[in-house]
Amino acid sequence: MPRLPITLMASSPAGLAMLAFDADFHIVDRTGKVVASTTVEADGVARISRAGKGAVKAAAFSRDAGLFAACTSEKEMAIYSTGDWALVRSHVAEKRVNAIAFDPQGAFLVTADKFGDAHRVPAAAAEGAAELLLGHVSILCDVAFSYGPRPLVLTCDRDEKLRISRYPNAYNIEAFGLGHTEFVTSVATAQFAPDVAVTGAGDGTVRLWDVATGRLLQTVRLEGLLAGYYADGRAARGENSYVDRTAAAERYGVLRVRAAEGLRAFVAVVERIPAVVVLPLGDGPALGPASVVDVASPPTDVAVLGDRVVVSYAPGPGGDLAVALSWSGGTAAADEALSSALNALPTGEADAVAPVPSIFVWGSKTHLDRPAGDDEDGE
Amino acid sequence: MAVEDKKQLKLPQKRFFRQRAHVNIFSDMEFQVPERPSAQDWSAHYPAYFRAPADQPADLKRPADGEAEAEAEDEGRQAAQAKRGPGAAAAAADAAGTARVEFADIGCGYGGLLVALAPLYPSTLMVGMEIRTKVVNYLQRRIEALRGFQHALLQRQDKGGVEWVDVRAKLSQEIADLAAPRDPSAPELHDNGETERLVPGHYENIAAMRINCQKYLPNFFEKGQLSKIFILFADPHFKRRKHKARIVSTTMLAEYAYILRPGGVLYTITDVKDLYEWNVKHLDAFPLFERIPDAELDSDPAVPCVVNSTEEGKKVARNKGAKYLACYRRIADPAEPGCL
Repeated sequence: MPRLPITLMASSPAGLAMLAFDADFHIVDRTGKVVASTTVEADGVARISRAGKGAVKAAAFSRDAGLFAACTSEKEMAIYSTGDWALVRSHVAEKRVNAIAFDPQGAFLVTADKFGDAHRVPAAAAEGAAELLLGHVSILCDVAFSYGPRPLVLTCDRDEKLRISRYPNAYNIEAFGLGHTEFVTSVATAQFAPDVAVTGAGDGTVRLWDVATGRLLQTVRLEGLLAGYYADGRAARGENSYVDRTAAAERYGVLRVRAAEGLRAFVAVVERIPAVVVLPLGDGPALGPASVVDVASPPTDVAVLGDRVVVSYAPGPGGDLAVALSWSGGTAAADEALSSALNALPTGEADAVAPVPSIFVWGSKTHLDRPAGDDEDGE
Repeated sequence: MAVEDKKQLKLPQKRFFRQRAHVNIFSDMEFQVPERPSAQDWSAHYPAYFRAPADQPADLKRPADGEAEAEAEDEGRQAAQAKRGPGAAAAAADAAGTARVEFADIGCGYGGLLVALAPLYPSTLMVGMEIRTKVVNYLQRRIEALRGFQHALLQRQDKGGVEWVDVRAKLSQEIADLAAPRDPSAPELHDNGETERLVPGHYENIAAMRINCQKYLPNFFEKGQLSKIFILFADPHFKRRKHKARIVSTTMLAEYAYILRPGGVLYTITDVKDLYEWNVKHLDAFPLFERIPDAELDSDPAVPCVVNSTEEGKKVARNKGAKYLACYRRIADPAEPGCL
């Protein structure tokens, strides 16, 4: 029976990582040892209650690493203290949540939902209602906070926009980051570069922004780095069906961008392309030169664990779940010990693992695929 | 343009451009949206104010990467673009030499407000935004025709017998004649479109665009660019589940506050009391807007147009309905004293 893949990861600034598979997750340390889990029963492993019904869709650690939160596809979320992994509070969101983040103080958990709204709930108290923070007229894909002296919250949406708002007075929009031509899937900020933010989108680009003004500083076109994977057939192509429109075009849909503090770089993974892109941040500020590292299978997520970069993927040959990469002298190499530990993690089995639908199914604008002559105004 | 051509100039007739009021703003439609405000080519909308990009010097190139450079070049290009063509009325030249849109009519419909406001602020650029294709087509043709009539009148001017409309005098007189300008039974102001006399601005300062305001406002307008936003007789979206589609919502107020400069004014009017109460409730609760008291509105020349110039407004007056006006000023963020 095939193993469940790791579909989501989150990193703690204290060197822990969460790896989620369906409704369950493990918390591992830098050596890949499980310190807490919703399934593993063993000495030295704290038992965590599940976040709720449904697969874990969003997760985050607070900046002081004291709190961890996870949210499921059924809108149920839980906040845990990372000391003893006890449940601090649970909460049910009104709409399905796509991303969560703790605010810089760790006082509130901010949720970004598919209706376009971002709310915040008090994190440490067991009670306290959610309050509306801001809204987009679009699906919210991700949320992040800046590291600069002035707290700013960054939200990105399906309608190509990055919005930068003051926090907690998020009704006051500081700037928009305009430039992406497709849904923006992911936004990342970094302590090593508090003036910038990096986004990835369905338009096949990773972009660097000045956080204070929303000015576009740089566009990295992934086609230039990854076209070879389509040329030699390593990129997985979709089927040509109504539900999956990726077969026609060689698209580069960014699944995730993350800051890798230890490397002073940003990393990105692209749907269906078995690789991870590493973009160091240099003077300018500017990203580059990029390096591309092969991984065994098309990725599901990327995260940092200490100074390693971990890429999870749909189980490859041999049933591997993930690979951990380290860098020395600018060259990447697999950290065999950590990779083995991660691959030994029990993730359960299923009769069949449903294929992950392409992000273009929900992300792309349907009118582009509609035959000409249809009603223009969507009445 | 010879005098004979005037015979072919006709105002378009609304009945050929009717379209039902309700459109699903959440559905994906194709719009021409610039990547960012500095990328918008306004020359198609205001030919008297902007030169088309094809006229630009050939050495202005956009680099493939390094958008920072491109942005600086955009600004230079826009400054070079701002140009007054022939026929523009004697209007105060913009200090910086760059014209920018300052008024936006959200859901402008058939253009009643724009046409009435244009001569009152002849050197201010105003844009109407409307999501319905047929209605935008109508308004664009209407503006084109009105400009055409003005050009023809200008040609005839040296032969004499061409009058100017002194709009402020006409307006003051009309207001003085009315017992209460906002009285729903007051006779209709503004015939909406001079074809016999010259007007200040010659209607060169108004334009209409097809755009979904709820998704694309930041693409068209820089932060704090506008000094007035008009939301007249908006779709009430009565059903509870449709409330998110209302043009005044907490979400949209943040965007209006972003594109409106501090001190700028947001005008709302509706004949639906429930919608008026919704608008007031949301605007009162929004920290960046503060209500302008009625007494202050009496001295605002835009207000009589807001109340009386639109097709909707006239329909309401004909049916002896009530109109509920609520105007708000964009203020500095109370959470950040000393900042905007």
